[in-house]
Amino acid sequence: MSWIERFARILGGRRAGANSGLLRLRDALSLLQAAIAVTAVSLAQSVSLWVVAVGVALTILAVVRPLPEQARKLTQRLWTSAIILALAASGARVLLGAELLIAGVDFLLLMIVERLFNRQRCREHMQLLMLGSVLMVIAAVIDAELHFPILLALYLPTATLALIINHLLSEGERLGRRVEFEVDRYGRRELSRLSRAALQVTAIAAVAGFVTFLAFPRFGVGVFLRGNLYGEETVGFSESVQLGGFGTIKNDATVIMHLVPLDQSGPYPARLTWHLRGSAFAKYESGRWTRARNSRTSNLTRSRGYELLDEHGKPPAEVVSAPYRFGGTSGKVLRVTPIPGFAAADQTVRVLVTMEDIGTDLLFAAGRPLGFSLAPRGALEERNRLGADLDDQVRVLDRRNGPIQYEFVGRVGEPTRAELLALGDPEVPAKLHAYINTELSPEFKALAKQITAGADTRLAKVEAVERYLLQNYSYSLAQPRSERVRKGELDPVEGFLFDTKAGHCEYFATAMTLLLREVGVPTRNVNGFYGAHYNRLGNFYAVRQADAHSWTEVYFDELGWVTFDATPPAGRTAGDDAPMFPRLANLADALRNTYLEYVIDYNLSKQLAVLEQIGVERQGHRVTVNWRQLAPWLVGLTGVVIASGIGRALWRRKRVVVPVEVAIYRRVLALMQRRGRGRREHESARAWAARLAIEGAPEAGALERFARRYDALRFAVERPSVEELARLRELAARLRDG
Amino acid sequence: MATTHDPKRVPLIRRMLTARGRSLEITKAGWLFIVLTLAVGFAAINSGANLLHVLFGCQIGLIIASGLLSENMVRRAAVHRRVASPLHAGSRSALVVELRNASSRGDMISVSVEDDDRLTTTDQTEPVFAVAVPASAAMTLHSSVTMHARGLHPLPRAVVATRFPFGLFVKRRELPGRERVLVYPRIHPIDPALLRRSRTGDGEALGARSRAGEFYGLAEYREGEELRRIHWPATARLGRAVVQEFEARGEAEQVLTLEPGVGGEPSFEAAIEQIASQIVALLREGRVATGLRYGEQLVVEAGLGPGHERRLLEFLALVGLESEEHS
Repeated sequence: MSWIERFARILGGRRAGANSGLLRLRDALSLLQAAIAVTAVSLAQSVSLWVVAVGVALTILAVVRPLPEQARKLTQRLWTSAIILALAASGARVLLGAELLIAGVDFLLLMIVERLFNRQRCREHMQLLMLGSVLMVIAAVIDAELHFPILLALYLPTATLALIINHLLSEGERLGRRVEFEVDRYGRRELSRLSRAALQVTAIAAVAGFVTFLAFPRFGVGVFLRGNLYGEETVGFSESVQLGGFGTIKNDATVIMHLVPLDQSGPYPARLTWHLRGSAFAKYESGRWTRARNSRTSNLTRSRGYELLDEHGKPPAEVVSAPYRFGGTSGKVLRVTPIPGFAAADQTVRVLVTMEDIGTDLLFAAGRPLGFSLAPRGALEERNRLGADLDDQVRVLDRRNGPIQYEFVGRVGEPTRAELLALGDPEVPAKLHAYINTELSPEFKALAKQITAGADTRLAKVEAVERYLLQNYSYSLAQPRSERVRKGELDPVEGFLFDTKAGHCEYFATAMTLLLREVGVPTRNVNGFYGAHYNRLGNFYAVRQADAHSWTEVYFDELGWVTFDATPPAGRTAGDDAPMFPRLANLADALRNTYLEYVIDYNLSKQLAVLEQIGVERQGHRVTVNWRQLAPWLVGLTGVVIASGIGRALWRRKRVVVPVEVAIYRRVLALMQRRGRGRREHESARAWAARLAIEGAPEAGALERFARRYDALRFAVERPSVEELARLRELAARLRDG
Repeated sequence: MATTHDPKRVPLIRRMLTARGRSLEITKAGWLFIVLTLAVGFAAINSGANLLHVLFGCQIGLIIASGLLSENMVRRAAVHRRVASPLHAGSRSALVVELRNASSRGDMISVSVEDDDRLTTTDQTEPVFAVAVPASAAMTLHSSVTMHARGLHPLPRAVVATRFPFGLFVKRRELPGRERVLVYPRIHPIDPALLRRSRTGDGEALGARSRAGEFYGLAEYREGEELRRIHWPATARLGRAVVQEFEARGEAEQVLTLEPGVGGEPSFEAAIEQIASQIVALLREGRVATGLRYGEQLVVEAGLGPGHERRLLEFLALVGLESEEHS
């Protein structure tokens, strides 16, 4: 039994009525294609999980106990009522606020189950195939991940073979039992031939799909519903953040950002140590960071394609070159305005970022963001606009679903210790009072004063707190809450400082921020990502969800907000171990990135670029062909076609293995045909020889001896030996020589 | 009296999809598939979603592959039809259809031979279907044919059709040439009393060979003789087909008369039908040597046997139709 027959026996289940192999195979294929389609929509998160679970349970029942060919009227009425009820329920769900797409897909799933129960005739199987294909179309619209083309590659040959077998069986249904029997017999005997036909059809369909993808001009917006990677889950970048959220994502290896440095050349370090700043919070209350009403507002100044984030009330730099989206240039684009007493003020990085939709409209930048420029890849992204928010946050206004690509220039240079010391401990102006307010317990205040006793400069206070936290507290992803915090007697950060003495980056950053505020140092809590990992396969830096991090920014007057990170070094790199198989994760990420870049985000401009590369150019309304450029492609394509034709012919020849004795017999047949004494169509070798003997042919005797020997070898249980074949050849030679 | 094959009014889409002897009909499932393809294409163009373009292309590819495969099947079909039993007007007769796979590579799968439904005709053949014909092989299929009128007529125009591979489209190819068959006149059962009146009693053995009577000997089988007369043991022994022969006995004799007329006239046709029915009854059941006179002229002398019956029926099939055959 071939593997496909075994598969049909297992998955084809019981059939009410005839139990033929081909019918079971068709059942199995119908089930399999439906399963692939349901998997596709499930992975695209466009179906309710409970409906999938119910569907799977009912499908198992349908496979084991399908309805008979002539189901009772009551049963048919019950099924019809169930479908109508399901339709009504779907409509009600939509009216009550459920997503139309999910309700619709749920209904289609129930239809598939109903068809599986009622799968007696070819018409029902055709309907199953149509339902499966509709689900695949829906998944194609929603799902932008790499698993869709893999599922499509499985779906196409399965559905094609199912269609072919269903067609043959439908001819049997149409023409009667005799044809049914013949179809089943032929189908089982020639299953490999039918499978090859299905693969050939799949190949044609795949080529057509590929050509359409490449060449069909894009008129639409280019990106449909790529969706939110995380649904409603926040990762610390919403309007307020509860202390403790980051711990849950430190094991999440999902890549959420790809970074491509635009002002550096290789070799690239394996790990970046940038703080990618996203959100900043000024107000802390009862374990929650929010934005203070009197936080500092920011402004954006537009200049030559860049949106520059003001510093001290004015643009921080002058734009000297165009952004990446205009020509793809690399190198320095901003001439940073010098800051007295800050030598490294002009140390910047310029990075192209592709960020997934993680449920936030914030843009992330390394160090202190100086400027942003959106790099839209389609009409949808071109509608995005930037806006400045409180505390140097930059957002995409009215952000559409889906990923976003942008460029940032950030100042990664930090003031030196001497430069910070030189500032001393200046008075905090009124406009920054929001950044020194705290409402914590007297113990907390006492601890802050104790830690910073003797510190006479702002930097000394910062370093004292940082040192204290590093020396007395340990990093932990577990989120212990002390008894006093649980009872509400202490704030969570106090619980960390006084009771548990262990926590993750949020606790360290919050503790540092608030302790410094107690001693009059303006601080704010910042959430973002720390570091990125170089992917050699894809030539980009990947930022994972596990790299989410929290730190403190301290205000140093003219030097601006300076980054300090109280989290122990081991804690900053806690996310490095998130992927279980790092190399495999890198490969998967590189493949995914390539898939997203060249398939999902393939748009009209890329099409034109591809055409230009092969020598077809558009000049105004005319299209010109550069034959010198196109010729090698045509030659290559012709070569590929010829090579595949030759390969196919060679493979076919190799596949057809003619036994030696048959080859000898064929030569004898050809010889006798030439002599005009050929074999008639219905004659066996011996009958042929007998007829020639009656007719008085001179070779009749030799032919009779050859025929007897040939029959014995041809139909023997074991393969003839070399000596036996030599004897057969000898008899054939005698026949030839007369 | 020629049979007419008037073209039928076929749907516009089918007419548009007809060219070079091929025609394409879209089945219900095919329409559904086309609508789905167009919907996906529209969604792809409207949204610009790249994966929808891929799916759209795949569906177009399936349609193309379906066309290529179905053309591959119909193109390699070679059909030869022959009538296997006497063909009387208005009656079903056996038709043997030899369907050959003219290609030396690959099976010919799911192919049928059926009448061209674009023509209006009263003549019809029963469609035949072959699940698979191996490469360079032929398959003999049995069907039936019903012709409306006597005379020399071509068989109904046939087409080779296939729904392979998906059942979405029906591809048809017109078959070149139409075999001409001789249709004998309509016959009907005859009153047994007439047969009894025709017989005048048993005669003496004449020493001549006959189909019935005392065993006479074995003779070599000739084309056209009844297969049931083959003596199988002797055939197996000798290695060639031989038939039994019997000594003729004296039989009654009758010469029927047909008054001249013009083919197509109802009274003339009715007379031909009556004469033919009598001939068949007398020769097959009554074993009466039968002859035929057309007006004053004796056109067929009295005789017995299947060959004699054929001569009589052939004359009746064509009488009065000569002017139409030449037009």
